[in-house]
This record gives sequence, C-alpha cells and structure tokens, in this order.
Amino acid sequence: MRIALVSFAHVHAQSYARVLTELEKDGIAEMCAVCDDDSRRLALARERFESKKLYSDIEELARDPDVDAAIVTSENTKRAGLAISLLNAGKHVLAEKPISSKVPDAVRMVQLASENGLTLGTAFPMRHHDAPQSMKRVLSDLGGIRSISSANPGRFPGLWFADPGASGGGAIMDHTVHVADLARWFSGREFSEVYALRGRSVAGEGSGEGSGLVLCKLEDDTPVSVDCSWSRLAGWPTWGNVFVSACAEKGAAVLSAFNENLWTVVQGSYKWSYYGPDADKKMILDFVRAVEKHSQALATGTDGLRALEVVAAAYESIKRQRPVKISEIRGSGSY
Amino acid sequence: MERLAVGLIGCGTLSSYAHGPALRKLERMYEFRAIADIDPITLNAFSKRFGVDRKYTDYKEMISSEDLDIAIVATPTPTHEEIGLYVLNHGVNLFMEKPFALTLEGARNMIEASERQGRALQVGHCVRFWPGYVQIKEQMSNGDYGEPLLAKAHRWGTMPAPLWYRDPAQSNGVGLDVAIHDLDYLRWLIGEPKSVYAQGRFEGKLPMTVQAVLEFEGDAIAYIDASWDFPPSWRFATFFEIIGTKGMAQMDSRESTTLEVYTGHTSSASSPREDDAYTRQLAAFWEPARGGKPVLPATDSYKSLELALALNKSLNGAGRVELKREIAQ
Repeated sequence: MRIALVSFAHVHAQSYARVLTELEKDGIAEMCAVCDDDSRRLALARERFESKKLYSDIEELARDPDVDAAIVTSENTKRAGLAISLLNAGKHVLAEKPISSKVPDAVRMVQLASENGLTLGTAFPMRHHDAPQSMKRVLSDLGGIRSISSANPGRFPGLWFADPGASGGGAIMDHTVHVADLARWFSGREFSEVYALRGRSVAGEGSGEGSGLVLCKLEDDTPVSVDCSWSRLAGWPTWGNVFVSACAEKGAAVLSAFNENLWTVVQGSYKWSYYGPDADKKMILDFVRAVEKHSQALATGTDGLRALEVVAAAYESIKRQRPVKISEIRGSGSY
Repeated sequence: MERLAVGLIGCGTLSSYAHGPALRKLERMYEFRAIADIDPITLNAFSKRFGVDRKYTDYKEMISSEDLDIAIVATPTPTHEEIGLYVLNHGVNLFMEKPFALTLEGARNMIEASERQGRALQVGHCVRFWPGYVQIKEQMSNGDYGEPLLAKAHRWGTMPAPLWYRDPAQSNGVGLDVAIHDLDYLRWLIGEPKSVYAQGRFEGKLPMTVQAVLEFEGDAIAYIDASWDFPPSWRFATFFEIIGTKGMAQMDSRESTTLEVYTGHTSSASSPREDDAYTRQLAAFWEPARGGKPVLPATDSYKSLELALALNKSLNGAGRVELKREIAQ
C-alpha cells in the first residue's frame, strides 16, 4: 500500500514519517509521496526523502494514480480542504486530530468517504496505546461508568498553533479531542452538553486560548471533565501527559498514559525520556489494515466528528456563558 | 506559656486522627481536659485511646461543669449551629470543624455570638495549614509564578462511613463537605471568584462527585474535582496545580508519601510529620483564644461557605452562577 504524507505543518508528522519509514522496511506499506504547500518545509522533505515524489499542489497529488492513501497532517483549518480533495479523488485518508476545525467540514468528509466507499480514519493514537486499551477492558467489568475526570496537559506547541486562522482556536481546539474521544470510547455513550471556560491567550491578543476547562455531560448525564490546557511550561521535563480517571459502579481506573519515562539529566538539564508503547505505529498499522480489508479504522471519521462537536460546543459555551447542547451545534450547521 | 483548657465535642473518626493527636502534641499550649460524645461506646474508646478521663454524653453538661477556655466541635454538620451557639453563649472560645454550618444564617449567627461574647471563632479549614499548600501560597506571594492563570484541585476519596453523610439534607454531599476545602484555599491563593459552574454524579439526591469550574477577577480560571465515588480499596488522594505567567507548581499526594507499611494483606502509605496541618491549625488558635488577633477570621470562612453553597446551587441545576461581592456581616 502506497501512502502519501500531506503536509509537515503538524508536529505529529515527524512521528508518522518515522513510522512509515519503519513500515517500509518491514514491507508493510510504502511512503510514496510528500505534499506540502510550504516551500521551506517541502525543501526539507526533498533532502530527507529524496527518492519520494514531491508535490506542492494537493490536486496534483490527488491525481497521482500511484497513491492509495494519505495521512493529512496540515494546519487544522486546511485539513478538511485537503482531505476533501483526496476523498474526491478516491484516496483513503487518515486525518490528524482534530479532524477539522469546523463541524460542517467534518460532516462533509464523513459523507464523502461513505459515498465513495473509502476508509476515513481520525488520528486518535490514544485508542492504540496499550494502557487505555487495557483500561477499556477493565472498565467493561466494573459496571457502568459514573464519572470521568481527564486531562491532556501539554506544552504550547508554538508555530501556527498561536494563529487561530491556521489552528481554528487554541488549547481547546488542540487538546480536547484526545481525552473526549477516550471518554466516548470507554463509556460507549455520546456527549449531550458542554460548558467551558477559556484561559488567557498565549501569544498576545488575537492568539488562541492557552488553557481550557471543559465540563461535559454524556447522554445519561454522566459528568466528564477535560483539562486541555497548554500548561506544561518550558522547563517541565516532558511534553505533557494523558490522564483519565474513571469511577464506575464496581471500582475505578486511573490512567497516566505517558508515565513510562527514564528520569534523565542530559547536558545539565532534567528531562523525561519516554520508553512506553509506540501508539502512533499501531495506529498507522490499523489504518493500513482497514484500507486493505475495506473496513473502518478503530477511530473513524465519525469518531473524529463527535469529538470535534465537543470542541465546537465548548467555544459556543464560552461565547454564550452557558452550557450548550450538542444538538444545538448540529442544528446550527456551524459555530 | 499559659495552658488553655480544651474540651472536645464529637469523638468520631476526624477527632481520632486529627484533633486528638494534635492536642496530645500541643500539651505545652493546651490541657486536654474533657471530651463529649452522645455515643457512650465512641466516648469510652476515645477516652481510653487519648487518656482523657473527664467524659460526658451531654456536651452541655461538659460546658457547665468544666471551666473550659476552648471547645472544639467535630460533630455532624447539621448540629454545628446549635452546639456552636451554645459554646459561644457560655463564654467559651470555639474551634468549629468545617463546613462552618449547613446554612449561611447558621454561620452568621455564630459570628454574631462570637462578637457579642468577645470570644474567638475559627473554622477548621486545615488546608490553609497543610505544608505543601502553604508553600505554594508563599511562592505565589513571592511572585515566583507570576500572575495566576490556571489552578486545578482534586480531592478523591471514598464515602465516609457515618450514615448522616448519606442524607443530602444533613451533609449536602461532597460539594459542601469536601470541595469546600479547595474553594477556601483558592480564595486564599487567588482571590474571590466571579462565577461558578458545577456538574456531578448523584446517588439519589446526594452529590457523590462534583466537577466545578470557576472564573476569578483577573485572568485566572480554576477546576475543582471532589469525589466520594472511589471504591474502598482507594487511598485518599489530593492533587493541586497552579500555572502562572512566570512559573508553575504541582503537588500530588500519591507521589509524595514518605512511608509505606506492609502487614500481611494490608498496606498503607503516608507522609507523617510532627507539625502536621491539624496540629498547626490548633496551635494557631492559641493566640486568638487569649484575645489576640485571629489567624483565620470566621468572616473569611463565611465566604467559603457562601461559595460552596453557590457551587451546590449550580450543581442542582442553576447553571452558571454569578457571584456577588458581599460583606460577610
């Protein structure tokens, strides 16, 4: 299977490129092309992947018959446009999270994939990390989930993440979806209502919020909280973590997914060096197998859309200073 | 040092792990003179354990028979107002366990009685004396973190055993009983909030888990998570995090235990210390009880009760609650 990597804008593209190189060595998939609308990034890709086809125009890539599928790791606001071009041309797509910055665009992506019989996956690597997978099994034996408290604190990623024109928001857009998706996946229930607060902008007026506190209810009123803040300051020994604590009828499970670290001092600075599971690799392998079997990825486009609805409801709640129902987001057709 | 005579009303779990040991450590300040509990079994067990011979099943009898300087009240919340007023009106300084009272009126009545009688009144907001929390407050005051932007507080435990906690009319649930600790601390650390929104998990009408977010004057927002929903094997845990414009701090009780003990099939982990928060908060009452300046004024604790009741209002369906600035009296 031949996979194109579309855009090195998102920081996760580096890890996915690494995985594709490994899969190529294993003979499982081939990274056949790179597409980037940024000439500087494309030049870097030319140095690094000299044997690969390079495109600056997504439509040209979409017309390339040698491409079976693409991983889209662009800026958030460009993702839907790129994905829609690819889906229109019959390419399978794994979309970086959030699946898009706007709900109607995500709806369009899901519709197109379905109409064209294509696999559309959302890059939710936490579903492929061994600890949350184990937690899902554990929770299925503990009776109904009563409450979930979660956090995905991280560093402010800089770059275009500070520009809402490219990112579609701030920390809420960037970090709500991983843990919101886990809550949905663990519980098997949909979100119904969201109330949110935003923290101060990170890079001056007009930049996205630096932190977010998102209180959600599932359809049976189960409370789910999400801290999506860029709250790991420079000097913190690692990028962040994913925490989910779930209380259920017969017990509780507490996840700290990125706790497997060496505590190191390298060149005089204290850092955590991660040696935990390679969730990105498992995620891309799952996508490859889904495409080969004409089936769905573990995290589908619809899963990406449902998580994005929480983000949209959070921003709407901040604007209106009241809880917002997911049905309002669907009803309005935009946010 | 003048030793003040102390009587303890309510000899249950809290008194056994907090006030009893604290009074034994503070013998240079306090004479642990007498105890009262309506349940003779509880009373006798406590008397034996802490070596206090003068014991009463009627607290009123203790107040009139013993010449007490201080009464510590650690009884179920719905009895706070009646017992607290009795203590103060008999000229005895009052150390009242948190939550201050079930209602604002109850708290107001006790504040008025303390002023009328010229007696000290302190509420047991022990987190303000908890070493790690105190250090965060100090570093915040030093400007180490810059302006506060985000605070988070977890307080996760199991349902307390006494049955009155299970009655929403008597305990008001985990919001009033547990989240009030972090509400009080956040007021001290950051200032007065301007809005609160809460959601939770209920057992019948009893709040068992509370998730709340607050907005403060300035740019700070905060998250509070208090729960009784953890299973019996869970070890009580607290977490606190503060992010500011210049720095941050994080504290996790699960990551800071200093002693683990394993005996057969059970184990424990704790961070024992001579000057624990319960000891510090009672030591801080000695000066006010002798007529000195209050370390933690009851009017301040009144505002924390007010905030906890606003949180409960939101929790019970009021949505976002805007908080008016009110003077306690």
